[in-house]
Amino acid sequence: MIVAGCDVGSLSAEAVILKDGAILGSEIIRVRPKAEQSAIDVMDKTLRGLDLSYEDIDYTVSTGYGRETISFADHNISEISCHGRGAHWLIPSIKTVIDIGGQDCKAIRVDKDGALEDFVMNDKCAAGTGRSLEIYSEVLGVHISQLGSLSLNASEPVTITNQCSIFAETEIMHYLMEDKSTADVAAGISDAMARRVKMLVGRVGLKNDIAMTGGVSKNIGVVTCLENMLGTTFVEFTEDPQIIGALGAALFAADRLKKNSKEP
Amino acid sequence: MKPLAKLASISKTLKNEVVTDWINQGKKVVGYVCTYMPEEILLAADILPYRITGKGARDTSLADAYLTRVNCSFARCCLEQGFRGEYDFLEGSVWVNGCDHIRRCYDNWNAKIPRPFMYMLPVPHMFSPEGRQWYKEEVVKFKDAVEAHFNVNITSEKLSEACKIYNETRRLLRKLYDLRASDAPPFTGAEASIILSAGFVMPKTEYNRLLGSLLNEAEKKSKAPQEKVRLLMTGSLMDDSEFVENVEDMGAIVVTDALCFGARYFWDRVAENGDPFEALVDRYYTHVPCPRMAGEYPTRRDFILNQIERAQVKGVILQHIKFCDLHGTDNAMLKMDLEKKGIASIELEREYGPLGDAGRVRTRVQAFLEKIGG
Amino acid sequence: MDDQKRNMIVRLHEIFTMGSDLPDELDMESPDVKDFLDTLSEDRRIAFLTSAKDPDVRKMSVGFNRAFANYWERLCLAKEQGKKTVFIPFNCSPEIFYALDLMPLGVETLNTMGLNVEEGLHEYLDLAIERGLPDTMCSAQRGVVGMLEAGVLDMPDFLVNGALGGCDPNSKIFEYISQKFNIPAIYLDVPFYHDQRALDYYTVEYKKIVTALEEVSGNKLDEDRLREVCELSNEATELFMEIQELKRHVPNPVPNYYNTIHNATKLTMVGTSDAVDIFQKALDVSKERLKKGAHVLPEEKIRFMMMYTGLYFGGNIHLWLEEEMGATYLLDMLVSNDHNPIIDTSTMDTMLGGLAEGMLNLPMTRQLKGAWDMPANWLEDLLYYADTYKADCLVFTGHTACKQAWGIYRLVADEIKKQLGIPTLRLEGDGWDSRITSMAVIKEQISDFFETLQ
Repeated sequence: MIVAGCDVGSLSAEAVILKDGAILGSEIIRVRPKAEQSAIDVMDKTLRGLDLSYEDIDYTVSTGYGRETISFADHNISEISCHGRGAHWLIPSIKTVIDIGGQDCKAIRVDKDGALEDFVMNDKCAAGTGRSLEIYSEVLGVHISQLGSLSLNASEPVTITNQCSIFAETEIMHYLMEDKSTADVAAGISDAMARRVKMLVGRVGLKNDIAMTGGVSKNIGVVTCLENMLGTTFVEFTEDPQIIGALGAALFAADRLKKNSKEP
Repeated sequence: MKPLAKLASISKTLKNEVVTDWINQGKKVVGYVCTYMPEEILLAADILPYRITGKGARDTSLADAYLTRVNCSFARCCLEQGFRGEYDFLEGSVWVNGCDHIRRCYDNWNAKIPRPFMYMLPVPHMFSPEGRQWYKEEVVKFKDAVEAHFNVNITSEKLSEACKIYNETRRLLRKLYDLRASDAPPFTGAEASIILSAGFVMPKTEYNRLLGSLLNEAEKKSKAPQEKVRLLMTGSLMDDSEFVENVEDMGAIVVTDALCFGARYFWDRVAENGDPFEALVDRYYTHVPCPRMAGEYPTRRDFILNQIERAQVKGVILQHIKFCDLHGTDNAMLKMDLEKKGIASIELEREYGPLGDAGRVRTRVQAFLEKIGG
Repeated sequence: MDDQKRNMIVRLHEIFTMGSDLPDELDMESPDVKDFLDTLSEDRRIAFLTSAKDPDVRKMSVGFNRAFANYWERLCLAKEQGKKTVFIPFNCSPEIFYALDLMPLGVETLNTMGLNVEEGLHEYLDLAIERGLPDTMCSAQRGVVGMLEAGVLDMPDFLVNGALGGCDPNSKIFEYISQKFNIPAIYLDVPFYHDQRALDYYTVEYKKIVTALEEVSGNKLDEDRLREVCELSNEATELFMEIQELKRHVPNPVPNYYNTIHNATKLTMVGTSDAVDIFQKALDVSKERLKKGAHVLPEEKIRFMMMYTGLYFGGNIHLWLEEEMGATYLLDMLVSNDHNPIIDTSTMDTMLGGLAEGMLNLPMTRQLKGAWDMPANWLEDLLYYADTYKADCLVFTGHTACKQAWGIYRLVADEIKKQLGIPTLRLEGDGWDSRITSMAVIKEQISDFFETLQ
C-alpha cells in the first residue's frame, strides 16, 4: 500500500510518500505561482526520486493553503489536523504542537491517537508570525536565519513593547539609534514573539509533551524564550519538521484507504 | 419562478422588485435595523418595514470617515450603503440603541443623510416592570410619531390584523425550522439564510404566500437523511448566505441558529387574545433576548441548549463580527458552558460582507469538523 | 515569595503607605532620594516624580497617598472583619456602599493604579484574553479580570454595574466576571435620555439596587448613617467645585496631577472624611498657588483638555505636559463632575434621589448614553467645558475599546471646530495598554500638535 501526502503552503510545498506505514521518501520545493503547479512539481520530484509514478499511489491527501485546488488528490484535510497527526506519529508522546509559519501561528492539541482535540489559529496580524521576524531582521540588518542565535548573545535584552509589527519596527529602529547592540534587540524580538505565542498556547491549554514546527521553530531565540515562559522543553524531531504537514496528510491517506477497502 | 428562486432574487438587491411595486402603488417604505422595533406598528399604518443591512457594499471607504476602524463592519457597511444613496428609496428609518455600533450608525446617518422620518426608539437593557413600562411608553411615542408624520390612524383593528400577518410569518418560519431540525433537512443553512433574508425586505403577506408554498413543496419531497455534521450557528448579525455556504461546503449542514436574523427573530409570537398593543409590547420586550440585555445570559444559553437538543446538533459555530463585544463575550461564555456539557464549539471572528475572508473561515471550520469527526 | 504572585491589594497598600511619609522638605537632588529613585522601575519613578517633585503637588499627594493606603488596608482586612466587598465600575458612586457598611472596589481605579505596580499589567491584560475574553474588550477592566484569573485578587462578594447603555464592553465585562467566577451581579439600567422622566426611571432603578444590596448583604440601610455619608459627599462636591472654579483662571493654578487625585478620590472615596480631606488640601494648595501666581512650568503655553479618557500607563503624563510642553491639563471627561448635584439630605427618599441623580451625571453615563447631539450629551458637555475652562485645543486619546466615542468623534470634532473654532487631535491607541501605541509616539504626536497651535 503506497499513499501520498502533499502540503502546499504559502512559501513552500512538500510531499511525503508512505509505504506500509513507513516513510519512503519526501521532498520540499519553493511554491510556484499556482498551488496546483506546486503540488505537481513537488510530487513529480518525489516520485522521480523513488522511481515511482502516479499509478503506484493508492491514495493521496492534500493539505495546506492550496489543498482544495489539487486535482490529483483524492481528498483534502486541514493543515491543522495534518500537523497534529504528523507530529504525533513521529513522537507519540506529543500532545501539543505549536506551528509558526510565515503567515499564521497555530496551537494544536491532539489526543493519544493523534486526532485533533482543540486548536487556535492567529492570522489576523503579522505580529506573532514568521513575517514579522523577516521584517525585524531586515531592520537589524541580519539574515533571518541568524536572528535566533544572535539573540542568545544578549547581555541586556531590550523590551519590545508594541504589539503591532509596524510600531514594533519603529521601536526597533529607535533602539538601534540608541546604540543598543543588535544582540540585545534580537533578544527583545524573541521575547515579544514568544509572549504572543504563549497566549495562543494558553487558549488551547498546554499539555506535555509539546513540540514546535514551522519556520520559526528554527529560531533558537524564540524557542528558548517560549520554553522558559511555558516552563517546558520542546521535544525534538529527527525528521525535518517542515514535512510534518505532508506526513500527516499521508497518514490520513493511509487511514482513508484502509477504511475504503473495508467498505464493500 | 419557483418560490426559492423568487425569494433569492428578492433578497439579492436592496431596492428589489417587490419594494419597487410597493412604492409604485404610492406607499411608503421605512427602514429599521433591530428586532426590538415592533414592525406591526408600521404595517398597521400601511408602511412597509424594511430591514437595513450592508448587503452589496463593496467597501466602506465613505463610512470609515465617520464610523471608524474600531466600529463593527456591519454598521459600517450599512452606513456606506446609506452614503452611496442605496437607501434613498426609504421614507426614513427607525433605530434602536441596540449596541454602541448601531446607535452610532444612527447618529451619523441622522446627521449626514437624514430622510424625512428619522426615529430613535430606545429600549431598556434589562427586564423589569419599570423597564417594560418605559418600553411601552416608547412604543406609544413611536406610534404617535408614525401617525403624525404619515397622517394615519393606527387603530386596534389594524394593529390586530398586522399582528396576525406577522404571527403567520412566525408560524411558517417555525415550520421551516421544524423541517430543518428533522433527520432529513430539505434546506441547507445557506438556503435558509436566503429564505430568511427575503422576509425582511418584502411585504409579509406576499412572503407568507411564497414561504407557504415553498414549505408545502418541501414537505412533499422525501429526502434521505444526510451524513453531514449538524451545526448550530449563533453570534453576531448574520444575513450572509455565502458565509453559511462556506461553512457547509466543508461537509456540514447548519440546521438551526440563535441569530437575530434567524430563530430569535420569529420564535416568539404576539398573543392574539386581549389588547393587541399590550400584547405587542410584551412580545417585543421579552422575546429571546439579544446579548445587549444584561443579566440574561442564562436565558440565551438555555435557548441555545434547547435548539441543540431539538435539532440534534453536533457542533456549534460561535461567530462574531470583530469589535462586537456583546456577542464576542457571550460566545466566550457559551464556549465554556458548552464545553462543560460536552458540546463541541468553535469561536470565529469575522468581518461583515465585503471585508470577509472566506479562506480563513474555511480552514478553521474544516479543522473543527475534523475534530468532531466529520 | 515571588512578588508577582502576591496579592495586588497588599502590594498597593505597601506602595501607598510608603508614599504617605513624604516630608514637606524633600531635596530631589539629595543622595538618599537619588538612591531611592534608582530602586524604582521607570513607570514608578515617573509616577513618583509626578506626585512628589513639585512641593505643592507633594502636599496634596501625602494626604492622598495616606487615604489610599487606608483604603487598600480596609480592603485587605474586609474579609477578616466580616465586611463584604463589591466590585463597581467607574459609573457607580461609592457612597451607598459606605452607607451600607460594604467595601466598594472600583475596577478601573485598581486597574489604573496597578499599572505602576507592575510595569503595565501586561501579564494580566494578556491572561484575561488567554482564558477566553475577546481581545477587543476594554483594557481598563481587563487587567482586573487577569488578576482574578491569576489568583492575585480575592473574589468580591458581589458585582454592581451601573453603566448599561453607556458602554457595551463596560457592562459586558461584569456579566463575564459574574458567569466565569460565579459572583452574583446586580445591574442598573441607564436610560437613553437625560430629562425628568429619565431621572425618575433611573431613581427607581437605583432604589431597587439598594434593596437588592440590602438583601444580598444582610445589612440594613440606616437613615442617619446615610445622612452622614451624604453630608460628607456634599462637602467633597463643594470643595471640588471650588477647585474647578480656580481652573478657570488663566494661567491655571491647579496642578495637572490634581486630575489624577480627583478621579481616584471621586470614584472610590466620596462619602468618607478621607475624600473631604483630600479635596480640602488640594483646594488650599491651589488657592495658595493662585495667590502666589504659580502655575504650570515654565509658563502656561497651552490649555487643553482630553475629550474623553486620559492616558494612564507609563507612570503619568502630567509632569511631561507641565515641564516639557508648558501645558495645562484642564480636565478629561472622566473628571468632569461639574454637573454633580448637591444631595438634599432631608429624607431617606431625597438622599437616594440625590445619589441617583449624581450617578446619572457621572462621566460617560451622562455623555455617552444617548445620541451625540442630545442635551447633556458629549457634544454639549465638550462645548461647555472647552468654553468654560478656556481650552485652546482638545485631544481624543482614541482608546481602542471606546467604540461609542470613536463612532461619533468626527461629528463632534467638526462641530466643536465650527462652533468654537478649536482644533482637536485624534490619537490612536490604548489608554491602559502601553503596547498598542507607545508613550514616546503619543508624546511626539501631542508635541507636534501643540506646535501647530503656536
